[in-house]
Amino acid sequence: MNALLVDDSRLARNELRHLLHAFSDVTVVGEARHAEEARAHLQALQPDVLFLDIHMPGQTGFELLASLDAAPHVIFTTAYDEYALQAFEFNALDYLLKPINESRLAAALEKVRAQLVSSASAEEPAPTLLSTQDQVFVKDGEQCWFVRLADIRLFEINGSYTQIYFEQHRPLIPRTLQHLEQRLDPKVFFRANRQQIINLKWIAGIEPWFSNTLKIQLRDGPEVEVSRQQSARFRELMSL
Amino acid sequence: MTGSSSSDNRAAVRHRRTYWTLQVIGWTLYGGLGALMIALFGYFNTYLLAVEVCVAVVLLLTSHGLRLVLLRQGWKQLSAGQLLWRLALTLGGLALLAQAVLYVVIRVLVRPPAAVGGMENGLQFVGYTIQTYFVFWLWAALYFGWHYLRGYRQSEVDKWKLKAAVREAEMRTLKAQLNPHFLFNGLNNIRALVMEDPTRARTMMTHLSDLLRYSIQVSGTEQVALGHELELVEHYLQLEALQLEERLAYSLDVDPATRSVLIPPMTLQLLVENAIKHGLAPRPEGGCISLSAALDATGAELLVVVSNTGAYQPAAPESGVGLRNVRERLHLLFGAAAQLTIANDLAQPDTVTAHLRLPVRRLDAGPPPFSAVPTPLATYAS
Repeated sequence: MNALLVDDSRLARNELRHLLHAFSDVTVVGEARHAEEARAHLQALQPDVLFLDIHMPGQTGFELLASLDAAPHVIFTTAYDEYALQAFEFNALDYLLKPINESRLAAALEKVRAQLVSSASAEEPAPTLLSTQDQVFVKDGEQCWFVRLADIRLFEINGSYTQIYFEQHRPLIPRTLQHLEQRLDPKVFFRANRQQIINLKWIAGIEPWFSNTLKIQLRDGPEVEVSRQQSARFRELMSL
Repeated sequence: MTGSSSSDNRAAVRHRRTYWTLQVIGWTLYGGLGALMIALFGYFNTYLLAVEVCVAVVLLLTSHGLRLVLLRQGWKQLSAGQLLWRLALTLGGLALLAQAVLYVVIRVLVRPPAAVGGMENGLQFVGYTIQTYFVFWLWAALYFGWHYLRGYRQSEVDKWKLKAAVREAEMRTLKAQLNPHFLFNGLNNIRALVMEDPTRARTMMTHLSDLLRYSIQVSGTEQVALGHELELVEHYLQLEALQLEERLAYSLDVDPATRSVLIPPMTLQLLVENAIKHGLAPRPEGGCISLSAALDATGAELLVVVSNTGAYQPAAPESGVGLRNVRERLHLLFGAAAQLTIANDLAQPDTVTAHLRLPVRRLDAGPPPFSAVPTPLATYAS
């Protein structure tokens, strides 16, 4: 697997590179000193896993992730960060405390391997679109999540942000609904009206509504009124 | 600082109000008691009542005069011996003055007929004067007694406050000040350095141990020699240089005469750490820190200046706690004589400067007479 190391300390990167040397299936394809460099490398190198420090000059590791359309597999490396780590809803692959313990590193890499295998099998051949297995990184106040697109049942316009609905959470992500619509797989995500995109796999019930429109009930979620034009498209889509 | 001066004001107002309340109650009781005694002996009449009112008013005013004198002359700072003979003389004079004034006032205002009993003979005048003299002594005893009690309580409160601030600083030292982030990054960097440059790794290990030793040693102490604290700052900067490498440049310019001056421990360390944490570290290109310590022209004041690249953000919550604690300890040790200000430098763009001023106190409490030479450097423990 290809790894990208992001840390502002040169010695810390060297140390990690040295530790990773012991794992023959890991290739360090690049190093970045801060978020901006990391973004460029992510684009160019498309690494499988990101070793990411949280505190860096300029943007933090969290801010870097929140700015990405799809977050890669991430292993956080940090010296000490009780608050950030406690607040973390851990579906992050893992986090390692510096100085890094070799056996903890081995365990973290094992998780990455498992993830890579499962997502490779679930991969849908649509390279420009995000698959349902892709995840977005969301930070809402003190809490952070990696959310699989498959788990998001509704996207809703909220000012220049988009509010996403998953489990019982409703955090905002800094992207427009238009931008998301272009990146999401149209087989799974459907634009119900100007305000909302729904995840078709989360539909619990559909009922006819006024003037030939539809009302869709989402599992665990709100009801969504589909616009007249989109109702027609929806019927078309479902009748196939 | 404004908070403490406004609370000082409130205390002064409360203090004045208490004084006047006690004065009015005390002398009214005194006059009233006099009138009551006369009434008990059956001589009561309106003239005597008027006389008692005059007595109360005149004694109130003379005792207030005494307070003005003792405040102006700073008698509260005198030792008991010095105070007692001054009181003995002044109270005698005042008693005499009060009776003379009373004599005139009663003659002019009340004009009691001789039958009622004025102050016809000299013996009576002497008797009243002696009585007043004793009453004034009683007044002085109550006044100074109350003052000493208050002073004692205040000094107890100050002592506890300082203890609490030192304890808080101690906790901070152990928990936040040498913050774990810094500590573990340092260890991680040294671990990498072992492969790259073993000799430097060994030096860094020594810096780290000296730093830890210092922070354990000084925790709980109120003051430490500046030279000692400076060693810590150098260890700290060396370790930060490991993390920041070319992003950190620093210079120290310290007048040797300042090295024995006493400062609260972890003060310079905090200023330098804040400079790095809030000034340099957030900048991808880094920056520089300069620290200078010098005495003013008279040699009575220490001036420490820490400048760093960056922009001042007063709202940074973490630095707020550390700075507040340093200010509190400075205030308790030196009062208003010590000052710590942090602001954007008006002379240089993109620079934050911290100024610390405090009166010079050295390890050796009694400085050698006829000598301007500072206490030898070797006196601070190493």
